[in-house]
Amino acid sequence: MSLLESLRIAFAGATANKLRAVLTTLGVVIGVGTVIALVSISQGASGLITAQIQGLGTNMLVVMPVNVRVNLTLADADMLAARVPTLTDVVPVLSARGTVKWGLNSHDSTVEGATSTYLTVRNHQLAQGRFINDGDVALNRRVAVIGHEVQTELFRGRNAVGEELSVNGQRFLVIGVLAEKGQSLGQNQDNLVIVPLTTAQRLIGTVRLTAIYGQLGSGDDAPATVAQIQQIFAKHFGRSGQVRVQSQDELLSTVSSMTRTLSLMLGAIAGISLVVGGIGIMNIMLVSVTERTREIGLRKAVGARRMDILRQFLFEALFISLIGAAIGMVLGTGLAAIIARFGGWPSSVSASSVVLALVFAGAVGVGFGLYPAMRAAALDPIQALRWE
Amino acid sequence: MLSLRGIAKTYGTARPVHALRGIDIDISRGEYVAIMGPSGSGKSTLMNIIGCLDRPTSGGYTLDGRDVSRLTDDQLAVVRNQSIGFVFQTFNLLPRQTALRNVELPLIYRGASPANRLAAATEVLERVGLAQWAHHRPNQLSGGQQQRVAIARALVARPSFLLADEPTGNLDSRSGQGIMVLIEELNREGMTVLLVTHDERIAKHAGRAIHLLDGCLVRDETNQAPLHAAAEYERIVRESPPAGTAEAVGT
Repeated sequence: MSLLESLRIAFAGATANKLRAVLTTLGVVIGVGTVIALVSISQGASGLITAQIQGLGTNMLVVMPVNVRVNLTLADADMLAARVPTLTDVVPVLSARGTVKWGLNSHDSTVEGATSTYLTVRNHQLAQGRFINDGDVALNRRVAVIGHEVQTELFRGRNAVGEELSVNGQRFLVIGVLAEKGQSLGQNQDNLVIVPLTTAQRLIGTVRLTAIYGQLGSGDDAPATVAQIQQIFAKHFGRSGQVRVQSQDELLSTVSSMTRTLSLMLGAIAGISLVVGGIGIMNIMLVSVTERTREIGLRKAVGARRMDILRQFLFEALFISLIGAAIGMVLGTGLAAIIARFGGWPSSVSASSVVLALVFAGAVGVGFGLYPAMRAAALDPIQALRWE
Repeated sequence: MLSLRGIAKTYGTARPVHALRGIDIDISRGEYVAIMGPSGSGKSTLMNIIGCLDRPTSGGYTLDGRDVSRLTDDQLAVVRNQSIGFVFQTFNLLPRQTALRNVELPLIYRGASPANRLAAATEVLERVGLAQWAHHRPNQLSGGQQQRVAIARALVARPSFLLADEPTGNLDSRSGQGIMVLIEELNREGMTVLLVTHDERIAKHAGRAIHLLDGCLVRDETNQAPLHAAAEYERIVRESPPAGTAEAVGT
């Protein structure tokens, strides 16, 4: 018997009881749907997180004290700049909460004392005016660069550059506005007031730095540089473990291993539902073989060989699972698109997840269809013809 | 054409049941043979062996010059497909398929092209007088018509012989006689017919009757004056006028 004829008979068999066929496919529909949707969601989410990490600055490195008893000062930042050649820039940062006012408008924001290289290291763009320069730092000028949110909240669309605002009661001249950047890892990057580091030390009343940002020439230097900085501070403080040094690569790999674990877990859940779908197919195929015992007997009597019967039922199972896969793909893509809208990442269904789902659904169809098909093929025609 | 030599069939090993104990039969081309016996006589077992659905425990079976007693299941399937036309008591048509598709079935397993299948199936459906019913499903046909479709299916692959197992067992006497008329005509046209039955009246149509009892061949007799099925049919029609639609008689 030709392959085409086997397919035709299998198709007729599968569509003979349409409601049952559709219900049987449900397991595979749900399985494939979840595979497609979950893979798309985890890809979208991890893409978003990766973009956010890169948005913090490229090849950046952060040194932070592990607790409040550890003091990092400007001198430490200078020491790093002098002794770590792989760092192209070092930015000491002092940050605190602060209230910003202009006229009657007031807004709670983060005040960051920084130096001129902050802009490039933290990957910000200027929308208007200029950034803090070395002169501002040296002369501890009362100038401020404000984030996008501060600009909209205080000035409500008016030009802010050249205006005076107050930060924690002290007057500052606005010299620049940052371009909008959005959220990054839960941090609002637009609600910022950046002032010269020296000015911030007086304003906040401390010389203790919140963090030192370092810019690496190349991401490949990250592990060696992190080790070197740890070593420098261990010597400096007399014991190790006083500062936390984190490179962006490290952060990225942490996040990507997290998302990998997440997609594996989601994939496993989807895989389980596919297996459950497969068991459903096997169940129905066994029922179908029993119901059609006489038909099998007759087909054998008129010349069907084992292989003909095997193929007929195997193709029927395969057909049911592939129909399920097709429906599941449509539903999964739709679900992924809806969730991507809420999650705020581009909805994308990768070809690899479609192929994976199809192959898996096909394997489920063949795997779970094989046993019923073998039972059908092994039926004795005499017994089968006598079956009531 | 068909030769059985010392065919024996034993079921079970611990307490063996001897269904057949050494049967010798020769059937030549064009014969009309009834195989008779009460239930438990080994009639069904013999029919299964002759129909290549089963293998004998011992003995030889030569069909068209080929020993088929030791073939594998798949080889037997090919022999059934090419040499044997089955007609069952319960018709065994596929309920979701049209008469035409049912008739085509043996040719599908032979790998014939759709065009050839259609031509052959249409021809035999015409032969059994059901050309206009080709696109009806079995449940739209009467019992007699269904058995005609089954006979067309048995004929479509041009087998060496027809093996009919109680072909009238599920039919009323009138449609049953119609089937007997068709079988008789086919035999007259040269088809070898093996009729398995326990009904003496049906067996009387055959030119030769083989009687089985307890797995042994007890009588193999030639019927000098077989019943003429067409005349019998006329008589039945005369005695019981049609209740509904008249059965078409193949001509």
